[in-house]
Amino acid sequence: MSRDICVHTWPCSYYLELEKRWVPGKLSLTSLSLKFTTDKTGEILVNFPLSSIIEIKKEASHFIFSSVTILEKDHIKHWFSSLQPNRNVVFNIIEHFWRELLLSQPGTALEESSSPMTRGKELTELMACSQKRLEDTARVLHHQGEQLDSIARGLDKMESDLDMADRLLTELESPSWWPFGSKLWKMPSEAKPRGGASVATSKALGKEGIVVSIPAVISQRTESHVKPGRLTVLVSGLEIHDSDSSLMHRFEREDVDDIKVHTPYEISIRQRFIGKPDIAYRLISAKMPEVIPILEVQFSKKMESLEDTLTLGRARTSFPAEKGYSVWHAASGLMDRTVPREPSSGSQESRPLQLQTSETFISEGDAQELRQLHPVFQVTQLMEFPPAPRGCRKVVSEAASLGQGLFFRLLTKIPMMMLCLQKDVG
Amino acid sequence: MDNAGKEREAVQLMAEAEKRVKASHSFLRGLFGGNTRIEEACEMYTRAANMFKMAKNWSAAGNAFCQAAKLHMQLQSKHDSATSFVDAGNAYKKADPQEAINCLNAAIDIYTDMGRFTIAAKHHITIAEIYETELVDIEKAIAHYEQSADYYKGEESNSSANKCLLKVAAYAAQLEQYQKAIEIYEQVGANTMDNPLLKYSAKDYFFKAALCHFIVDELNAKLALEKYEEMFPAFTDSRECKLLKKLLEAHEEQNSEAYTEAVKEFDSISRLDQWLTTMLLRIKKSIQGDGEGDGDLK
Repeated sequence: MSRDICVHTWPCSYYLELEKRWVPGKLSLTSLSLKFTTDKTGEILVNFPLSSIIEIKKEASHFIFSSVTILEKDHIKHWFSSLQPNRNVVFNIIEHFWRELLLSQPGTALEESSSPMTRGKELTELMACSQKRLEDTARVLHHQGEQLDSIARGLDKMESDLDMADRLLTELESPSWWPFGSKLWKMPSEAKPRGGASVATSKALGKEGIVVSIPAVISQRTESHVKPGRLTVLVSGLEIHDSDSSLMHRFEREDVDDIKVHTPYEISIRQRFIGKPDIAYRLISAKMPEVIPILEVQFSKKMESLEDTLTLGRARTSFPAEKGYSVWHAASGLMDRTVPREPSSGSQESRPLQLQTSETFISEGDAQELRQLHPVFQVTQLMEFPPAPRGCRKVVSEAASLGQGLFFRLLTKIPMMMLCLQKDVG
Repeated sequence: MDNAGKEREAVQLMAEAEKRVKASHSFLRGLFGGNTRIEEACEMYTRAANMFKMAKNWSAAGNAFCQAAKLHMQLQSKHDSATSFVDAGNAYKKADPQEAINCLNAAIDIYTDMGRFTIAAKHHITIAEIYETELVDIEKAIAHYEQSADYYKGEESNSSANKCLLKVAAYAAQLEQYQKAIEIYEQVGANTMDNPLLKYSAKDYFFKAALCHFIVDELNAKLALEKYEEMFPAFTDSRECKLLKKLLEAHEEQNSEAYTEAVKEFDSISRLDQWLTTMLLRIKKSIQGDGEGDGDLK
């Protein structure tokens, strides 16, 4: 049969794995096998049938010399290099004969190969090819999607590491004379870098305590634009948040000029300005009846019920009898509960007892503030606050660490108090 | 030329760095600022390594990176140490594959210790590739690919894990460990057939699994084919499935002409890759083995 006829012979060199050297010789291919004979001794070093080939590759030995590698069954790798005339020619011919083993059948081969390719077949080929490419693309896309996911995860991890670093740094920054350990010191400084709106909210949550917070539908001035949000009643004022819980507006208590109660479920809050449009919000909420009594305590003079006092009365009777005071109790109870929650803005560790007591002291102070709106009292509160067992410096620092917000708020209030005092005297 | 100068400079830097390390070992130095000396030495080693790289002296570069990595370890900076080991591995890869593998393994140990399994898996792949191409130790390459797939699976990056597993399966089939290959292909196929992006490649995996079955036993292949069609109806329409059916038929009739014809038709539309060629040849051999006797192909 034809298998013994040599198809072609190429001069080349073969790598001896054991002796780690190249031997010059000749590579000869028959239709069924591959053979390598050395030049010097004429010894046959390699001889295997083409059917035992697993893989044929173009590779570079030592990253420079182009060579053809053939992986035989049992994973013996043969390296052929310095192929004449050209590596690609040898590669193509060997691969061709290898594939023909599978594809051709002696005898039938001639007539089959001569049949021309039809247009339909060509098109199918094109389609199959593009299908294959698309499959590959889909795979790569999926892989990249996964990579993006892991990048996001990595970023998350980095962020948490940064947080840790930040915490350690603030710990290091805390002065050595601070007796409580670093956790307390970093509280105020850590609250600072947060963005504007959240500063307000975290301050509100931490330093003042929420009396009540309800979901509400909010419209600003004109009623055409209505959106969902939250109304939060704080000890020191009112806050209106939109649905993303970012702050829309904050009314300080003394800034509110009037609150109109349209129905038990609808109120409008207004702050007047001279020479500028008023800031007014109209709020509708199903839970408004619960809030109105609290507002009444806080803004007794400024409340104005427009209509339907009857329904208002009914709404109010659903609450315990002693309206204002009992509601206040409920509110202060709420506030007491919010106070221990406060450290959640910073560390999770519980705080020393002493601070907690002064914390409640503040809330009591605020309670006083709520009950009798007398500015002088606030000033004396300022004088007394906080309890000062350890000298003046510590008082200031403690005030800074705890009631920073309150402290400065009260400070800013002083000019207004003076005005009020003058009025009272007048 | 310039490279020679670089190399000389690098050698000097290495010597200097060594001196610093030795100096840091003496008692008094150890008490006062021993660590800064080691840090300096570290930096010098890295610089020297980079110069060796410029001069293309890969093994020297690898050695310098390795020294730097060890010093980093001494300084308790694991991350730097691992990075240096990887650099060393990359440098050695071009000169001394075995040493490259040692360095990469050291890096992997550090990374797994730190819980960074994705990157460890990546380096396992690098090692597997070295085994695959340079050292032609397929068994070890398979082991590393499997390890890598395990790590990727643990980190929920399934597409990377599948990639590794498919490599394992391809090699397992070549080594005639068909059962292993079949398991992997079936598993990957089942995983991908529900994914909107990957379902188009699922037929490929089922095709390969069926081929592996075919080599072992024809009846098994038939049963498997039925199972796959049931699992993944789109498989029935694919060219691969049709080819398989034709091949099974030809094999049953021991008709090597029909077999060749079917393969040829498939090949004329999309060229068979080397893996498929190998597998199809093995099946063909079994037909001819029964028919005309083994002598024809051996």
